[in-house]
Amino acid sequence: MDSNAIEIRGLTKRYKDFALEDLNLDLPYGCVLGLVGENGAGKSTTIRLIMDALERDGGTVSVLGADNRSPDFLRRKEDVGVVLDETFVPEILTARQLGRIMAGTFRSWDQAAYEKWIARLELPEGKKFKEYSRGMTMKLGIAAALSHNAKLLLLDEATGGLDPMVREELLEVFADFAAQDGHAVLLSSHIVSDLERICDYIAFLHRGRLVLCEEKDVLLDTFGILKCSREQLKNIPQEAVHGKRIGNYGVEALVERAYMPRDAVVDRASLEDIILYLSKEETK
Amino acid sequence: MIGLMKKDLYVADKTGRLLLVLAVAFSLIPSMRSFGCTYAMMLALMIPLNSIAYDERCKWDRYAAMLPYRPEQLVWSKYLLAYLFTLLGGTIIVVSAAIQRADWRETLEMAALLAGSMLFVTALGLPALYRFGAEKGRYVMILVMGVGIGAALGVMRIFGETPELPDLPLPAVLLLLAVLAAGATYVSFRMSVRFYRKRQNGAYT
Repeated sequence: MDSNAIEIRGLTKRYKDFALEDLNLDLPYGCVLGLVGENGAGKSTTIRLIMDALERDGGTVSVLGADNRSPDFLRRKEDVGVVLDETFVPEILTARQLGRIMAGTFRSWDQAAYEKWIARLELPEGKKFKEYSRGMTMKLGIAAALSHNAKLLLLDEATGGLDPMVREELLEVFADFAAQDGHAVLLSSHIVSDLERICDYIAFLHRGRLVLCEEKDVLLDTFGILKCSREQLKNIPQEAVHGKRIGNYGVEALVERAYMPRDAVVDRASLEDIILYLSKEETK
Repeated sequence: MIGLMKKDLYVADKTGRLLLVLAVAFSLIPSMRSFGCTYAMMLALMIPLNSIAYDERCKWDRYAAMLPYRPEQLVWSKYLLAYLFTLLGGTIIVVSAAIQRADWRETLEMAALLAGSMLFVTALGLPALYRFGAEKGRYVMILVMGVGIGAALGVMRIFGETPELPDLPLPAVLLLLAVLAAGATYVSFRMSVRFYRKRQNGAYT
């Protein structure tokens, strides 16, 4: 078995008004990779390209050891559970009917597991989707994705619209899933705190470009928040400063800890701080 | 493929139940039998059209592209749906004829002619739906059918008479219709897949 569940090399997709350029990304087995970026950064496009649901303009994608353009990939799709960020089933259907549809779709469909998830997530089996809230729809997508013995989960804003308690529970489920032998999870989310909680790697997409892809712990160790005066900031090597916010009483800056003088007070940067400062820096 | 058909049949059950009841009712009224039979066959077009409209509304195709299906299978399921309801329409015609003790040869000819016509209309209509979407596609489909019928009437008017159909035995007529429908379906299916792929890639948005 390869060491990566997903390997992306030079992936490019161009639209009239947007381009995903030269994306290189690995998702190792046993890990959760968080894909973060603003609306329209290319997260959903990346997930669709991984599943070969879009024609690409360049690059290669390997999923669970198979080139996603090879005839073999159709069988591999059986092993990939996908949750999209929007309604996906005709509104007049019910969860029970969706189970039957999926049973006719996946050879490895586990009806007992589906029923278990439906009960655990408190989804009404006989209610039509048009009566579902967004959170319930997301839960249903997750229940379906977890019920066909998938090895890889692709979750596109899957925790959006969920209440904090359910979100917490599902994040644990995703982390446990990734910890199983030969499993992995790619989670795209706006909720950076979710990513910080369970991700091993963070990939930051900005305007169709991969700004960084790094181990979460390395990121948190590398960066810090420096609070100082404007004069003090001038003495800091500029290559160490990755964005700053100037206020009336001083400056707050995202800095690389390794460049800091011994006497500088550098606070811990959250993942959200890092992403926000880096995105501002990239926008300049 | 079974999953796709189940989904379409669940949708058809909700959207087509009333249409089906009306078709059966019309075909059982002696004075409305011809209309009822035509109506029953129209299900073959209306049900796939409704199904595509529902898919569009909930973005099913985006999700389906993530499932272990090829685009050809996703498109073919709509053709299968049309054939299934053509068969159902044919069954309604035959059953209503049996109940009303109608002439068998006439009934079978009518069923074959209506089924063949519906297969052609479906072959014409589905690519339009995939190209223009369910909303615009249905108007394009009506326009194309209108132009076709208008052209046929125009030809008849120019020549001053209805062209005589060859006096072939029923099995030969059925075979001829089947061959023509298969050819039209093949061309139509290839076009639908092409349009479907392009639509998935955002070509028509």
